[in-house]
Amino acid sequence: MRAKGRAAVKLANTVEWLDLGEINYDDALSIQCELHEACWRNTRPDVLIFQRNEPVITCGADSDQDHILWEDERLQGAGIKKRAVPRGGGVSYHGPGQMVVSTVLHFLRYRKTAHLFLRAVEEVIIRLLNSYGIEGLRIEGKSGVFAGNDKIAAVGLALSHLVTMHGVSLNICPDMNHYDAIIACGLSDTGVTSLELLGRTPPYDEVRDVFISNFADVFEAIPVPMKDYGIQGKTRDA
Amino acid sequence: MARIAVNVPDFAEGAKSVKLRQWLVKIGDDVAKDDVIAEASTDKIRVDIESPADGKVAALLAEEGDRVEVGQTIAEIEG
Repeated sequence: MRAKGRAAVKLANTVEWLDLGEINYDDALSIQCELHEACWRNTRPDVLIFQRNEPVITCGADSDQDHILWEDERLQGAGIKKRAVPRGGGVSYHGPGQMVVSTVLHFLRYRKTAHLFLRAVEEVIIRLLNSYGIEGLRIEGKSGVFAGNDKIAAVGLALSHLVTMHGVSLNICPDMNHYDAIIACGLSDTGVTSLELLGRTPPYDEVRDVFISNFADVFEAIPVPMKDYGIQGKTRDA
Repeated sequence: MARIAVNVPDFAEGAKSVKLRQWLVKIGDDVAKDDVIAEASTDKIRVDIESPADGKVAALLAEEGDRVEVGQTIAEIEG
């Protein structure tokens, strides 16, 4: 029984964060899978993984191949790879100038449903954009975050053993010409944009830190940098 | 031997069904508890369906491409 007059206190979850920097998409996915297993087996805390990838088109569970508009030869000529990935959603693009955040979290610790969890990830982006004077919007029936009618952040999750994978990608200053190669997320009636196109050019590390700060507020979590994760036999500093 | 039901997990309150994308096992396969035996998806979320026990796959009760209800039994494991 609770002591009279004492309010119930929800304990905040500790969430580690790891910035992989510029990293090959496949290597980053392997690391994410490894940390996901450690997380659902409860040998590590929940974790946010930040990364910047080489140009790659990723195809989620609901991808329509017709949404890749360029032939393989043209993609190869532009240095863009294609990957089928184990996440929800359609065709997406990752590349330099974009911040990709994988949310490896026991979602029930934060929200009652996976969809509410996804909405909370969007809320982090909306608050981040607000700190740069940009109004981030949700559009009814469409996932992700928009500035006006243009998508600036895409979301997609996988859920295994009640722990999420994948998450959100935010366009800071990517090569927007690469978006001509796809119909992003199958949305032909909206465009894509970036912080740079909206006149903001913050450094990547600053955007990451603003994300972490807003994540802490929205998820009522305590982010701490990961210091002890070994990659290829080396200890990597977060 | 007892048969243990594999039910579609209640992962998303409000989402009443998911699309069964792919079986990763066939009848007669040995599985361990927590092995992923099927992939499903709903809007923007891909969901793994795991075996609740060690045993042998005794029945697959839904087809790839079916929409299956949350809580529906889609397989049985003989343990």
